[in-house]
Amino acid sequence: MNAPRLGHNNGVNRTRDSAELGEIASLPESVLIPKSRDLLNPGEAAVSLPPPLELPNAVAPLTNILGTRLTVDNPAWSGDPIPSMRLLQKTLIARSLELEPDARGDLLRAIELVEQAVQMRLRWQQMRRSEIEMLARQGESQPAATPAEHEVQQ
Amino acid sequence: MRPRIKRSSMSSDLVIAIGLVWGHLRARQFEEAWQLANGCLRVWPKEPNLMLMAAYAAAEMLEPFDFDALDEIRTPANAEWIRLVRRRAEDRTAQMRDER
Repeated sequence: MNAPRLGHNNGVNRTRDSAELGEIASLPESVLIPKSRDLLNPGEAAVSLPPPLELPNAVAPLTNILGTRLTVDNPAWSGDPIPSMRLLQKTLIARSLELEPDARGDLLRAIELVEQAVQMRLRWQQMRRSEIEMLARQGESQPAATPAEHEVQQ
Repeated sequence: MRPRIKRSSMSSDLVIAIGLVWGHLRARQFEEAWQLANGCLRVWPKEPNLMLMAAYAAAEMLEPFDFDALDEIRTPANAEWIRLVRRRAEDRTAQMRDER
């Protein structure tokens, strides 16, 4: 019998339409599904909050030497690190301008890597804003804060 | 144990730079770590934290690195790490030779 399966629901509503799924996918909760570090793409891995306890890792002694302030508690992983990252880019640019054009490669690559870190955080902030806006719509319509100061320079 | 290196005077861009390089190492992204550390060392030459991380990334990437320069920043706290990194660099180089 080809009985329609509609209405057969094991307590979990899995038959959501795609628009709704799209919205759900934009929530940090669903993006931050715990997965092994090896499964992360490079961008995700670079900006992932380093878990305090993980499988044995070779960096642990280095982390002890550098101290928590510069590693696990580094401002790069919490709050809004973008202004400091922009400052880092400016510092790198300023230094590169002192060098001969041929010698600037290392600095340009470093600037690029910092830019990737900035972009990942902008995307993450955007996702958080979407979530806040959605929650605000669900309750009362409260305008979400729009931090516009972090525009991409260059 | 309190962190040995405590410099409140460290600028926020250097703190972020160290954090990002460490993040790449933590994610085993040695190439990115190497490139970022290398660029930042152009700004902060001989900065001990960057040096320690650049050395490790260089060892993994088989990039040329002046490991002797680490002698200048050696402390009781990092001596063992420096020894490990040098040995890692030698092992990796030998490994590459055998594969050829």
